[in-house]
Amino acid sequence: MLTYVIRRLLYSIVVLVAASFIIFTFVSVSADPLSFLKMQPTASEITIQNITKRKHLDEPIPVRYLYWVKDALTNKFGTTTIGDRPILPDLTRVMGHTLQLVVASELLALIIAVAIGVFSALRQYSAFDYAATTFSFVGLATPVFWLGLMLQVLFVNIYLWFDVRIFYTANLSGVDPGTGLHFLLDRIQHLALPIMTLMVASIASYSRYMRSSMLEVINSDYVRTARAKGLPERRVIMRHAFRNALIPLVTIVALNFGSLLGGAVVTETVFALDGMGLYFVNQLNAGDPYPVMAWLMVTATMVIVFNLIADIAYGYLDPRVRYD
Amino acid sequence: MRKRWLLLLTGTLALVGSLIVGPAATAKSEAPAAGTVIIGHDQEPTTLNFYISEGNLYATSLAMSPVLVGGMIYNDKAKLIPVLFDGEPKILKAEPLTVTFSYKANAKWSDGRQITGNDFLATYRTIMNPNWDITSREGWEDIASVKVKGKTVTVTWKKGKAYAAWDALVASSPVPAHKVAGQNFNDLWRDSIDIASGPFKFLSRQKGTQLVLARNDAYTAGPKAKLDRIVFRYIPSTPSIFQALQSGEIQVTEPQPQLQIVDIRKNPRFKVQSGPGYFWEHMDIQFGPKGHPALKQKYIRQALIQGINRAQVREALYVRPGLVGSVKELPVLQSHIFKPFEQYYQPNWGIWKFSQRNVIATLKKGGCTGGPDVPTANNDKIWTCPGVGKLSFRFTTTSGNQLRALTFEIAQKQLRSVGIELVPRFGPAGTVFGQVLPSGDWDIFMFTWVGGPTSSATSFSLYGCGGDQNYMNYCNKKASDLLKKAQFTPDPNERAKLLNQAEKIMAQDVMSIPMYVRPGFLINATSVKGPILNPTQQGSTWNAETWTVSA
Amino acid sequence: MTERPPSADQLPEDREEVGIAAGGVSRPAAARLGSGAVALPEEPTGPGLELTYESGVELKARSQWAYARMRFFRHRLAVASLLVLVALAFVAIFAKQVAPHGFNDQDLLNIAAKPSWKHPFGTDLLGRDYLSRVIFGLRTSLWVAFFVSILSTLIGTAIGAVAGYYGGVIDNLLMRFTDLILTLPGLAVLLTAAAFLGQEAQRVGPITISQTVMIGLILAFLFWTGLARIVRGVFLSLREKEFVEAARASGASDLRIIVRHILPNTVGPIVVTMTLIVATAILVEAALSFLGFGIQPPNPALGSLIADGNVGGLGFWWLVTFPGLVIVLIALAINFIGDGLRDALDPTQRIRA
Repeated sequence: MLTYVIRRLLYSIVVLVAASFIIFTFVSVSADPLSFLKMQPTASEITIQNITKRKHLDEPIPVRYLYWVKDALTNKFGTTTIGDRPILPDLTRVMGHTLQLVVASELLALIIAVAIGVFSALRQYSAFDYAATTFSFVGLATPVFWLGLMLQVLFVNIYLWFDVRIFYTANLSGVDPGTGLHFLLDRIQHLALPIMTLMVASIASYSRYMRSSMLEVINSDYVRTARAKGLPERRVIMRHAFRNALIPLVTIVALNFGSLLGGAVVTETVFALDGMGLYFVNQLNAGDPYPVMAWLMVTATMVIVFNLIADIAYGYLDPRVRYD
Repeated sequence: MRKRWLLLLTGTLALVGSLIVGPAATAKSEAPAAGTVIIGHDQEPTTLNFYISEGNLYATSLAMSPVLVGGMIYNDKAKLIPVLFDGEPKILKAEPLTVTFSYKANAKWSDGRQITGNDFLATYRTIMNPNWDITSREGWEDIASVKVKGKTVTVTWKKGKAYAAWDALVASSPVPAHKVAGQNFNDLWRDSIDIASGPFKFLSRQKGTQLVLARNDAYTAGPKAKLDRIVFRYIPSTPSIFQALQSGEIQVTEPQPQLQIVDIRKNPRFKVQSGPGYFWEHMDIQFGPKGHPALKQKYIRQALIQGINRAQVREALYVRPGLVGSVKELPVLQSHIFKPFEQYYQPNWGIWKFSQRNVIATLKKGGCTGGPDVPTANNDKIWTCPGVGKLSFRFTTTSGNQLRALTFEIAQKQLRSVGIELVPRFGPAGTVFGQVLPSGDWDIFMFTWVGGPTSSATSFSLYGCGGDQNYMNYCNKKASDLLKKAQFTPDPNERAKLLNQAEKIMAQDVMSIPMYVRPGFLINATSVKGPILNPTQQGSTWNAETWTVSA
Repeated sequence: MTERPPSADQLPEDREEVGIAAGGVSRPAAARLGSGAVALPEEPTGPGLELTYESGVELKARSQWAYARMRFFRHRLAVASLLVLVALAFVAIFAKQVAPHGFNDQDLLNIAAKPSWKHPFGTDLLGRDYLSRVIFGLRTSLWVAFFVSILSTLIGTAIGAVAGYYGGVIDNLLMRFTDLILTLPGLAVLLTAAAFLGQEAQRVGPITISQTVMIGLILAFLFWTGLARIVRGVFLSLREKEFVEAARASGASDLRIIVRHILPNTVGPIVVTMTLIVATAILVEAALSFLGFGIQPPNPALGSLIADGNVGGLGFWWLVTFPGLVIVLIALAINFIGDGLRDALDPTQRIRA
């Protein structure tokens, strides 16, 4: 197991280096972070030269990449091209916001999806099962951004019709977020719509996984054996079936969680949330390689770590799997 | 069994439900503290220092101009009005240009110190310090001396370098000498600023979400602000801004010219102002070696401009959909130098009327073959002209802009019917401006120049031979000399005469096709009184001290 | 986009053996949907199926296909979905003939008009007939989706087949490459590539690749990995089988064995995966276009229609609702078809309950 993990980690580092070089080249070749300054009819030539020099923009790309590597390792991902602003504090901030969004939505989704999945499996072909299936299909076929827009429209109109503020449609907190309970409520009012938006697809997918793995387990030999032993049905379901059925779901959730930490780009854009995804898109539009790269490194590490967690969890929970 | 699951399910649903409904029941309907106006904006300033390149954003001047106010500011008529100055600055001598001005006796910094000539001197020195990433040093570079006597300043330019827009230059917001001394100006005011010269001062900032200004009670140079606070909310996508506007989360916004505005116009809860600005949309033509050889022929360029119905474009884009009230509000732009609402505007390009017959006649006269004899819809015969090949041009512009896409469609269709082909090459702003435009590897490029009341004076940079921003590589010696002369002519009448002379020559050359002036918009909830659209980069907060808000 | 839970191609690596054996684990999320909810009666595992992998191809293939067809057509939702998809594809292919107007023709007397008989989907804020715009958008979006699906299937099958058939170093190299693509933060690559390659036509030597094709290529580059693993798994399990040995003994070339003898056995999973990629591609392309990184105007796409029509509030509801509903409809139909195909072609994957 340990050698497996080490091998995986080493391999991941290689991938990370390769990916970072490719993306650095992409961003550097095709965008110029100084373009908006250069478009200013009266821009100062000295300033443009200073920044170019300071940021090595006149060097060939492999050299610039090495400068970046040095900055990333010794200087906390370095600073932005224009303005020399440290990148890490901004990245930490948006990461915190994305964590709030993703943890809340994934937790809620998980609870609901497990409940739906188990219930559907136990009552296969019931009206509930059909309803859940329909929901899943529609949920997976609905574009996330469209769902977000529809929720916005709905709640804007509830506000207009009834003059009741239930949820906000933009930003992370109100003008006066306050403290304590007031702050919490304010945050919930702001995050509720994005959480709902994000939850739908997760529930749709998780509940199907849960349903099918539950079905598989219920019909497996050892549950039959447990039943035959005369154990009470509840005990059979909870002790034997439910736990085993959770195994495949664990990996799926871990993977999804890992990639969501890179930011729910679409949701954050629609609801103007100051999170990882929006940060990335903004920096991409600005064409500045340093923040884009910092984001990439953090996100890629998350994906790799959660991939590993998923693998280990799977191996740990399912004795049939052995890694050499 | 079934009951347990049902219980669990209803339990979860109840939990989620209470999470959803709970806050609604308990949180009060958001009544922002009395005297707070919330402005929504799609871009967040990174630094609060608008002198350096990082602060070179409209968002920065929008938020900071009520804090670091200028000696004079542009009002809604694009006229400079004194704020910290005790009157208009005066020209003492024309050659070398020498001007004088004084700060008001009661002009004070928010920490109680007087605003004096030394602050202007500090501003000059800061801007000229090569270590700082100052966005623009234009005009400042040619200053010969700055003399200070208390609150009065005398500025002299180098001989023959009289800066045309000198009044806007001296009116720049002074930086506090006692705050910038010994500081790294690039790092100064990055996240907060503890000084103010205007009616508001910085209160707090929640990055990624909002920036809050509060009334500066120490402000004595003009009337005190009526509002307690101005809150800038940063919402990066325009549709979300409109959602937030409708649901009362923001009250004032200055949107891009987007079609969404039509909807708001019909809504009695909002007031929409629109008017021409200094942004002008145009199609540049490439004269350099990487451009299409046909475009180096004058008769072909003249055919091109006559083949595009510019009046129809702005009508289809702005007037008919209801973005602007009438055709009058948005005249066809007939000048690259002055805007239709400016005093010295002359319709120099009016000589080119839309005429498809003329296009065909012109091309035939030039010896081109293979095109249609009469304008035909769905024409697929494209002209080939002697020595320069087929009239098929690459058309570059930014992607993701509905209005530009439609402009292209209309122009493409119209030119096609007279035998000229346009091939779209759209790209993201960063790429087309950063890489494509300066490379000269394009034929026709449609974009907007961001101008201001003083930009006519610097037209040389755009159209002069070897001008810094002359990406077209256009060069007409005669016009170029006139433009160069105008740049150093401080007298506005004299300057306008030179500029209009130059443009008459350029209009014959058709080096670029002016399309229209992009209108600016300002929307406010009717509960807010006072916002007035300002056509310059001064920003809609130019008169924020007069705003009031009712609950 | 990333908000979507992972599909099979994002599953941890080194698990294909387990995945295939356990059946339930490494399937695409959407692929597993509704395996019990469809109106399909319990399917007896017919004798034809038992033969699937072990026997020669020609004769059994027919019976296998016949069974598959029979099973598919019993899946009523899948059949209905197929009809819907065919109808939509027809509309898309003949957009120029079917659409009442050109997608940029302005009707200046009906600007931002509500849906009416004249303009069933209304008109947009520039007075363009929205039904026509949706049809042309559908055309672009469907085209991209099918392009992505076909291309990524070709890449995935080729790589999976070669890796699985030859094994050893080749397998190792190809699978490490697959892993590389898998471990890349997909979103970052997608958005950066789309931002910096996919925004305008690219010139490769004498060929100009249009912007729409560029977006398709970028998507296809990221979508083939799951299939490569599935195909490799099947090849690994079959390459030592008697019928392959027999073919080899009779002097058949490697290419012939791969294409004629083993590949037909992977048709089931390939077709199912291919179908599901169409749905994923539609959704991802829509999200990209919505963010402004996807298909660029003047080409209309469903995602950018929603982005452009998104006014805020209910003022112009039809501008957001109709293209959105069309996306949901296509994605739903394709998922149902995929589900039906799975039941028909890959019955061993079904969970018996």
